[in-house]
Amino acid sequence: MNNRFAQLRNIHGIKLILSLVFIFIAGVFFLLGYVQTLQVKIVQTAALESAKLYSDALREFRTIYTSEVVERIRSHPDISVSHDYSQLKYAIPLPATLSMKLGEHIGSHLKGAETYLYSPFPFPWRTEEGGLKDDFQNDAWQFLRANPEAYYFKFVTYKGRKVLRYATSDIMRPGCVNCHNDHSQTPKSNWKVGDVRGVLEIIHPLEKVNEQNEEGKRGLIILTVILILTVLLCLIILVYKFQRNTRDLENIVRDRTAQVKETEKKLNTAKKMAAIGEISSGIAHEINQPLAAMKITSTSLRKSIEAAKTTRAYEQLSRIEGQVERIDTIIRQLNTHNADIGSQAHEVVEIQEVVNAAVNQSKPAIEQNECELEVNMPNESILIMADVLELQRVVINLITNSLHALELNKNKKICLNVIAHDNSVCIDIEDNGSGIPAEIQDKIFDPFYTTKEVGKGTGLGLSLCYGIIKKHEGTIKVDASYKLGARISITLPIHSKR
Amino acid sequence: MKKILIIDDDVDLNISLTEFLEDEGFQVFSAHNGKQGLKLVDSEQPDLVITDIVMPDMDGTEVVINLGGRDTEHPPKVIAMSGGGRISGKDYLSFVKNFKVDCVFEKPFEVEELLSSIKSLLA
Repeated sequence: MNNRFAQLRNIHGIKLILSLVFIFIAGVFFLLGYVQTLQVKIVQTAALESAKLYSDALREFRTIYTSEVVERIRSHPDISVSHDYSQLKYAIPLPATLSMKLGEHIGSHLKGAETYLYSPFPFPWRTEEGGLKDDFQNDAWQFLRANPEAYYFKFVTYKGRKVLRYATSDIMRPGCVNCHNDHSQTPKSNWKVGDVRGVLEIIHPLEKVNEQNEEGKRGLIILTVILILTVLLCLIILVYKFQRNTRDLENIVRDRTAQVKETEKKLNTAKKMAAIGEISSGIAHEINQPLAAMKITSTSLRKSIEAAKTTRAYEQLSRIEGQVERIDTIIRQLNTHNADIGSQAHEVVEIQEVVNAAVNQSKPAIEQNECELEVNMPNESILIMADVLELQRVVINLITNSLHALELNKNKKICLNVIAHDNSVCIDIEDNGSGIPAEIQDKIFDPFYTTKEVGKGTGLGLSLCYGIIKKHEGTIKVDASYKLGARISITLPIHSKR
Repeated sequence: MKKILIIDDDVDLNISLTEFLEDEGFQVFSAHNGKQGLKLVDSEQPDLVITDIVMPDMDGTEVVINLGGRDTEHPPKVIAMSGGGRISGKDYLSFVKNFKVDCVFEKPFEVEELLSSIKSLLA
């Protein structure tokens, strides 16, 4: 499981994807919430309209009953208008009584819409159901007394159900005033037309609508969940596809890189082989000479021994030994190119001293060649760990090389610059000859590599120099940026400055 | 006594070969480069020239070409030898065989073989 999460984190752009998913889900929920709010508003508006209609109908009924029935018949001696009409022989209900009865009937038929008529002045037989009993009734009475033409409503939970309580004012009409004022048990007898007699309240149930709402909500949520899941599924598929693509690409790149590296390796090996080939042919030539001489002398030696010419024999023998020495030297010089780093007979010397000594030794050759020599060295004493003689040999060798390169020059100039840095010092030897071609710049330090006519220098000089500088923990290389001729740059670690 | 000229820049080889051939009864001259060698050809008129290839100041190939171009009654026999250099001895010798060369030897060679070649050439 942890592995999966780790994988998840590694998906490219996972943060962006997760953010988008989050925004999408948030958007969906926001939409849901908005729809829900809208629905509630619709429900409430519908309930309000319905309650208004119902309330108006009831009031109108009362008014009509009062004017068309009660007014017309109440002057008859036998007929009485009473709340208790069912008990009397020829009685008709009071308007309020009848409208309440109507409300009851409708309520029981329609399941839930209740009607109430109340005021702070109930007739005595109605004190229980007619007085102001709860906060809503009180609030409604206060509000409607001040705003008789308006309506007062609240969406509340009443007796455990969600309902709309809708209240309007019950206003004294001309037909009502006389009766109310004249009635023997009237609580108030100075009613005027236009007074607010009481409150007509409709309690409109919201159950059915809520049920629908809930159903609708449920459906909406299911749809939304399906939608989100579908989107997530598509996303996951896309991401995996993308991952796979990326992985495939990575694999291709890795393979190609490996191929390139392989080719590089082969190229390097080929280069090395070529270098070795050159070195081998150089070695071969160098060693073939003494070998050839040795072979001839051995044959002569054999003859001398057979002829008992002892003196000659000894002389030929030492010549053979000389050839052996010669071969030995060549091999040793070859090894010197790959010298181990380590101080051997190194001492602390001033680099300026070493350079000066080398310059002095080279002076005869320089003057003979009519070459100009410029030497620049820092004033402060730079000390290095070095084998003085070997280092001198290097500098002399490089000066000699420059002189050879300048053979065909009319104006010959060699410049020796010693430059001190923080931890190292540079010796640059530059000439105004034809320079060292780029192709061979990294080969010239190989043993036996030479561009000179064979016989003039064995090509060991620069490789020896390389070995010596390496022993001094320094570097020697061609400065390719110098275009006015050849510049060889030696860098050595500084021991100290004075 | 037949005259042999040895041209080789390798001093030790020169000495050894001269000693050996003198022991065999030849008169031997030696030079260290092509220029010197051709001068001695003019002055001593050897019967045989044994020349190395890779030398400074005119190499063996040039010597061979030069000798081949001469219009003389008795041109000397020519033997070329090589220990290689930039390329192998074999390669140098196979090139020089395009010119007037009687025999080639790769260094190091068996000197007895050289001797028998010399004897048959000067017979």
